[in-house]
Amino acid sequence: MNSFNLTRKAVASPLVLSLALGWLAGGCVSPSADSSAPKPGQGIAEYREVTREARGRVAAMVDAVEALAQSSGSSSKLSGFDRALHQLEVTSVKTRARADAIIVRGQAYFDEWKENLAATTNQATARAATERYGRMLEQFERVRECSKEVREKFRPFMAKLREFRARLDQPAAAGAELSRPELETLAASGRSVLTRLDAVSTALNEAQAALQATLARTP
Amino acid sequence: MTRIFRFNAKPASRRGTIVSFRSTRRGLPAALILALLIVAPAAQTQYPGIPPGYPQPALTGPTFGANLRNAANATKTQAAIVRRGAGDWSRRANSGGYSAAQLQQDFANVQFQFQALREQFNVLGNLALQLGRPRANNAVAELDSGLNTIGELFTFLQNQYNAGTLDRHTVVRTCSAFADGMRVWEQELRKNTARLGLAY
Repeated sequence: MNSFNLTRKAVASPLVLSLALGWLAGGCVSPSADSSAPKPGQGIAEYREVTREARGRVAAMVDAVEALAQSSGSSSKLSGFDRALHQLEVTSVKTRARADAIIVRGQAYFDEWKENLAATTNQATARAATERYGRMLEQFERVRECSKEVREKFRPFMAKLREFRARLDQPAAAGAELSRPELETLAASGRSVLTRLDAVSTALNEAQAALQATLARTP
Repeated sequence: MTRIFRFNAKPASRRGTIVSFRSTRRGLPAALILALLIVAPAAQTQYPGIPPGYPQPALTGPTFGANLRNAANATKTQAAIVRRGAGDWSRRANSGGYSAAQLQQDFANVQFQFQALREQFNVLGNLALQLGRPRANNAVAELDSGLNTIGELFTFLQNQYNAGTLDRHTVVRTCSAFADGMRVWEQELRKNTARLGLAY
């Protein structure tokens, strides 16, 4: 790595493309810090994996909530709920952290890209590079916006789940019927997170397609 | 039987400011307020570096790379301490005789160790940022955000304290999630050593 070590004498078009790939490849882990370049689209693949994992955990959580709503709180359903909540808590450490950082570092790559664009002296190649920049930035902004929506929905969902589970252990809750409306609200909140995660996946697919198109056009 | 830890939020002294940590009922709210002040609930996506007033642990080596490795090793060690502390807390809280005094001690201990991890990670993060490599910056941002996510569990426990509804089952579940979350974070730290500019 990395694309930022390229000198300003580099040809603008490959430079811009490499910087675009830099964002899309963000997050790779190589054996040493600077010895290998990220593969094109690796960043998209990584974020897809994070999104897929998060979606699976949230879907399992929603299923557990719905099962609880239909069982009036039988102990077997409650243990399933606890298992799903624990797994979601643990998974969220990685998925939420990575998603947050990907959003920020993606922008950082684009900021660096802009700096390199400003240094480009050849006007024709600079124009082509700026057009590519605009297209990729558009894709990036879409992914970023969808990710923000996930973040805004995910955190209150987790908070509600924790609070709901804590209340079940209260003496006042012992033997009492579970609140079906509350469980339905929880499930709806989870489904809302799922919808946003699906939007992220769609945006990533579109970004991947745009990347492929850019690669195909680049001489 | 479910044990609920209820605490009186009255001040320790009617005259005002002295709060004794020897008194469980009086000391815990103070510990929790302290925890709230130290553990920021909001996730940060930009690594802020060491806040003013926080000491930088001395981890100097013969070279910059040695400093970085020392800081990474110290962070790994501290992360393991936090994980074990949370696991031990979960096991103790699972005992029927778990008392409010033990809860106070365990909370303070794990919170202290977690804060020490944050400080240690800040040292590592600041060194990594000096590399001036986007990959290192990104790795630092991810790990920092991970600690913020784990820190949310402290906030949750604190809110339960404040509401007077914390019971030991909730403590057990939360500590277990905390310990497993730390395990994931340690894995991410190991994976990110290359991005941080470390080659072992």
